[in-house]
Amino acid sequence: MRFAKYLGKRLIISLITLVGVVLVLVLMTKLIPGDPARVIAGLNASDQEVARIRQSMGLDQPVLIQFGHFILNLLHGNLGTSARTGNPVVGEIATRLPFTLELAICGTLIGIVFGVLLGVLAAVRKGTWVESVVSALGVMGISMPVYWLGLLLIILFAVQLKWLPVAGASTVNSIVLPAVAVGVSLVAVISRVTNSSMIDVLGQDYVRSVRAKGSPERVAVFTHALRNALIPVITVVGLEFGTLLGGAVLTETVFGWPGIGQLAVTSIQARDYPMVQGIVFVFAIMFIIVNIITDVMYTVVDPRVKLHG
Amino acid sequence: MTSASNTSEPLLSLKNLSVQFRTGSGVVRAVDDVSYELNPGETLGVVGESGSGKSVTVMSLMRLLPEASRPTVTGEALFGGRDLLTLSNRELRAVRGSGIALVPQDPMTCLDPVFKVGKQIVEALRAHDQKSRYSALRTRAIELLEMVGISQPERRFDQYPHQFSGGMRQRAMIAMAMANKPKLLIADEPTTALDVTIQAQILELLKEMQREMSIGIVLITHDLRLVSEMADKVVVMYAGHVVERGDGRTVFDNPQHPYTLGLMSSLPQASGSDRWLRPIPGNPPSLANTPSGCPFHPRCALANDRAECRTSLPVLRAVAGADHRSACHFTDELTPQKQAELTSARRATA
Amino acid sequence: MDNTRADSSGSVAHAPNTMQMMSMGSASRRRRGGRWRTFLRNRAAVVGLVILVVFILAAILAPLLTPYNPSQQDLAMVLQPPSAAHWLGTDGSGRDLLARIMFGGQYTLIIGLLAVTLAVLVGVPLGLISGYLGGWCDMIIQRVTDIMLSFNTFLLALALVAVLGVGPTSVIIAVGIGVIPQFIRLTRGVALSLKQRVYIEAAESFGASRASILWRHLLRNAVSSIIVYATLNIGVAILVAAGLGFLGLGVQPPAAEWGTMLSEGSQYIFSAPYVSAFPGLAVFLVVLGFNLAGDGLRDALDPNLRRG
Repeated sequence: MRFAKYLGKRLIISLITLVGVVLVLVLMTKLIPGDPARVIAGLNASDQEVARIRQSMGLDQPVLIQFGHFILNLLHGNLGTSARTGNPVVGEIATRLPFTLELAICGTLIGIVFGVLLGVLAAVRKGTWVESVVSALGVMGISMPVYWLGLLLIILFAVQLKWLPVAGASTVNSIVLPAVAVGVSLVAVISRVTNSSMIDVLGQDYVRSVRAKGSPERVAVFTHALRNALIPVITVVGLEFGTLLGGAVLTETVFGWPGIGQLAVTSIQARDYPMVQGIVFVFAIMFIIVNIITDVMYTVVDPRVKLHG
Repeated sequence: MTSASNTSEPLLSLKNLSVQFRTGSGVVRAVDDVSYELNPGETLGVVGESGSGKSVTVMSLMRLLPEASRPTVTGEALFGGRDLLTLSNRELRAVRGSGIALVPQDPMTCLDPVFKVGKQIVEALRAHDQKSRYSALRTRAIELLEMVGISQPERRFDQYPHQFSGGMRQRAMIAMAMANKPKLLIADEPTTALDVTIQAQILELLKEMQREMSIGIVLITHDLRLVSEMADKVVVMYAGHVVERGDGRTVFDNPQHPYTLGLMSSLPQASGSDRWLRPIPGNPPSLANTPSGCPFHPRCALANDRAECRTSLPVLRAVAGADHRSACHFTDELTPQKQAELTSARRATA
Repeated sequence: MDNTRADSSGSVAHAPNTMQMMSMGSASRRRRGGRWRTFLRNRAAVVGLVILVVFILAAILAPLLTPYNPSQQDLAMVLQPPSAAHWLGTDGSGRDLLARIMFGGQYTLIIGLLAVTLAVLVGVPLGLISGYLGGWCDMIIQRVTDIMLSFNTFLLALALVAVLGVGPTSVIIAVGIGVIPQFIRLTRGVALSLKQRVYIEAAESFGASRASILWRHLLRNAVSSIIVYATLNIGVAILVAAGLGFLGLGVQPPAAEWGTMLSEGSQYIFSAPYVSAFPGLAVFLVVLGFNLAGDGLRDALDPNLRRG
């Protein structure tokens, strides 16, 4: 019951945030230099054409009315029509969303698995060359532009070695390189966090208690220390979701991966504002969901934390 | 206090134990040439201020010192006829928990916060019994919880440490320590972090355990009252050295070291005539920088800036009575009158 | 006369516990020898600094260092691999890659610097105001900052570029705004911790206004943190700016900005991989340089910034 109350409260806050986002989105159309209607109509269109389009899109209305229209349309599951293709925005996004989700999830998994592995390794072998290497890899990982890494991976694995496909989402293997590209910066961040968290935890009294009982070292390190050290990692994964999404946008462009990131880029290049609005809105929803999931995970993982109802 | 055992072989025997650390500020001798013994069924109180090396001594036996400080341990530590310092890690692990058990200082931080208490006790049992089934271990753990006085042990088994009070957590630690019926229990400041009323209960519990299972207890504390209540033998440590050692009663009735004397006179007196007590002036020395000669001389009321105290380290020698030793150049000056004079002098200046 | 009431257990003075002492070594090492020496002793930080110096000099002295003009096309020498004549090869229009990278460095470094300067100029005062005034103002600014922080810098910049259009100015503004939340967070924290002290001092010194006391404390406490954050964030800014360039949304071709070069070069990955590899390498090295130097600065100036 307490959980339901908590969820309810979070949803209300999220709703308010979403409303804020929509407001900003609508405001932005007013701020754009140039005339969106003209862009949609094309350079050669007559003034009447432009005026007609402007009216049909409701761009001549005051902000609040546009806002109201947006919400109304939203409730009908309508996010507008793409200026570039003329197709409904929702349809395009819906087709592409699963690809981006697949990329994000695989990237996150790679990031967590390898990040935690490296972080634990560096902590347990503190003071040795292992720690220095992991730390160096960490700095390099966050300095590396994801688009460059993507290109390098393609050059190495697809062009030279021909192990994996170059681009697109045609085969099962296609996910590998993009996911690695997206995952690398996450690996770097997570390994840093895991490392310092482990070092912190390994010095705690309760780990000493486990040893004092006569338990084997691996129980002390893996069952107890790691479990505690992973708690902050969850927060980090949640926080890094933005980075992940940004990485996905760039990676999809490099690899020609048909997700919403690629769609976002082409839409911005083509000044397809309705599509951009729709995508930003969907991104906002994704962020909110990830935030809620992170909070809930936190309570699952740490019994001391209680949901504030 | 329990009666001393009559077997000839001591349970624990430390000989010339020294522990050094390498830190950023240089080499630190946390424990310097410490020797003491404990017989089965006895309680040995190790007394000293923070930084005296009393905890480090026992932690080094169990190889529980922080690795990061690169400790070097020399000397001999015989337990059940074997030198703990030369055992392999595997052999030592077999001793930890089943031969020697530890009840650590701060019950708040000694239990893993994300695991249930019962599970952690089962883990202690599991460390030395890989064969029994989980259900059997669970039953045993619940019995242990009951034994240490935790009510509703079945319910408590499934709770987390943050749901236990401080006193209960300490009881749980004792249950964990006793799980494998150790022969020696090391209690490191077992009551420091607890309320006064709970302290008494925990001590009672320890005494009861000792009576029922005749274990040896090394009781580490800075609290002399505890020692006077529980210890058969006393070892007083200062700056990593043993400065006085002997039978509990004897050391109390006739302290033969100025430091011990100082510790005693900072106890509240029953007479209540003086409400203001004086701790020993000055602070314990930094272990990276111990004073030359006798480490206590800068704070010693007896030293009077004499050259010997400043330059040469006193050796533990027998004083009044067998088995009562003190490391001071001028113990013969500590007649009962001198003792009284020193203590009252300090009180008079309050 | 020191009348200390000993507590009832008869315990006496407390020195740091032996175990605690063991971890104190490195802290004392830091205070000895001054901050510059700590920085210089950190090998990684020095490497970072060296990298930065190399790139900065290459960018500034570019016209002197290379005989080639970065926009000079030579269709006879298209897509040449690295050789003695062209150390890094040529691109799809026959332009010398090394020259383009050196001149391109000017864009990258200036954009990074200006973006972070913008962020500092706007973010620092905002954070201070937010922390100092508290109340509604603080809450609103905090909420917005939170949202901006979780939408990371790149996505924010992307959204802003969509509104502002393409070109270097937009990139500077977009990236700058994207980095602002970092500084708001930083100075808000400083302001919060200083609030108490300022009130006390104001009460004690009868004359000086609260603003001037705040300013003085600020200078002492926050400047080093701001410098560290700024250094680290220039790296972020460069990554984001080059990313926008890669997407064709930043500095436009034929300008020699590294991101734009990467995007142009991506068409040639089969035939001439070096055309995209080298500009990307340049971005990587410069960002690495800022990160290493920034970490070194943080260790030397304000180790408390190291978050777990």
